[in-house]
Amino acid sequence: MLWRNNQNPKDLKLNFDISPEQLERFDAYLNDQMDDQQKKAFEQTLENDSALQAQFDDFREMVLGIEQSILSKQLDTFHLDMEEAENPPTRKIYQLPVFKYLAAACIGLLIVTIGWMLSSDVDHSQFVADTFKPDPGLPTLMGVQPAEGDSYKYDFNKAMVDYKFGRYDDAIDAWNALLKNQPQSDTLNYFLGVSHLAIGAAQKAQPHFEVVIDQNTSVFLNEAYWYYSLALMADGQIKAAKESLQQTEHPDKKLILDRLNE
Amino acid sequence: MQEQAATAPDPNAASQLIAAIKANDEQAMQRIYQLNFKKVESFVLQNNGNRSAAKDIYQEAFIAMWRNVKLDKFQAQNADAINGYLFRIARNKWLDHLKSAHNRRTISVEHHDQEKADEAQEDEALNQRLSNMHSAFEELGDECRVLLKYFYYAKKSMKEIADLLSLDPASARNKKYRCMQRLRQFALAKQSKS
Repeated sequence: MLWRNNQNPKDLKLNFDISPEQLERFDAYLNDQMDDQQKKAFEQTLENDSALQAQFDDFREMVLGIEQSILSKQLDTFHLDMEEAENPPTRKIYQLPVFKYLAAACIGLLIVTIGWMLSSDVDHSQFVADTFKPDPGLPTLMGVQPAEGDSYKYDFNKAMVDYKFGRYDDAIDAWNALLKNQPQSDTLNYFLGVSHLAIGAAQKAQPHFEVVIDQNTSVFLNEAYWYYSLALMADGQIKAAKESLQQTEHPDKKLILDRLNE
Repeated sequence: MQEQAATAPDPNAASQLIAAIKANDEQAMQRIYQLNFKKVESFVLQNNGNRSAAKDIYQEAFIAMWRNVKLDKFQAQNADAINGYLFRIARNKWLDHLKSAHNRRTISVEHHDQEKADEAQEDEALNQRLSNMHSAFEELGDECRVLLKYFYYAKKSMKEIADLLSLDPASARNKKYRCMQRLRQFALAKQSKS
């Protein structure tokens, strides 16, 4: 066993002063890519070279740290999958009848709020922040092993888990990386837009919604118009916000339009 | 310390499961995770805890189990042994938590067993270094994180990674080396502060 359990952990100094060739050798051993003869020779070398042994131990600890870092996030995914299996998430919550009653009950309050907003110098971005509710997201089904090479699905779903846990910055980083290869993806652009809006970056959200809206066929089109309107409002573009609101069927649309048109 | 389960041996199933955990097989680990959570949650809820605490302690226990398997500190003689081991780690961690919180309520379980002693000796220095490594890894750029994740966690070949990242294999190898150097630098900086 090459992992030296009896070594004082404080002695390890992250000895990574190794050559690229040595790294490949360590990788090959750790990933079990050596044949028996190579493996035996490598183990013999480690036994006879304490400096190399220390480097290998530190390298192995680095790898363990990388793996543990990723696993700790993956456990959140496992947990979310488990909870979603018990209580499947529902998109478009606002279409439920109960929401309509709630929306009606809130109309008075919203009218007062919007009236106050329009009659004073209230920051629209604050109003949007109070009104904004993030899209509930898509089911992740992380337990389904992606096909060989299907890293897109894997990375997308990991980011979706971050999104659902409110780690919008992480989700944005991951989705931006995927966007490089699929700049016209309506799904990526939609959730990037919502994520930016969720962290108050209304200007950054807008171009993402514009991609979705320009396609005109996306399943996210209705919601994209709604969130785009909020992004425009937060940015002070009231006229454009009103035009965008005309295109959405969101239940709060008429209420806000009426007030903006007064 | 290496532990062996005392139940009837089923070497094939056990070795396959251990191999799957060592390979970070998502499906296998997710099955283990979901199979055992409710039992741990019930234990925590029955012992002055809530659902959130149950999730946290369970995830800590899961990582400890995974790490001990990786480091050959646990050898299962049958596939079920891993479930019992995971539960015992979680139980002991929760009992430690209660004790550390000076909770004086009577705990209706016996916990002076071998795992308790083993877990009490868990290497705090290693935990700290891995915590530093976690922070360092999070500070790496997207490309490095993705590349290292593909290679060291998802166990993809450099050729697959090169294809996925639209790099030629030599560039991918060079990039991996530079990413490991950067990770080491970041980790050293964390270590010097801790």
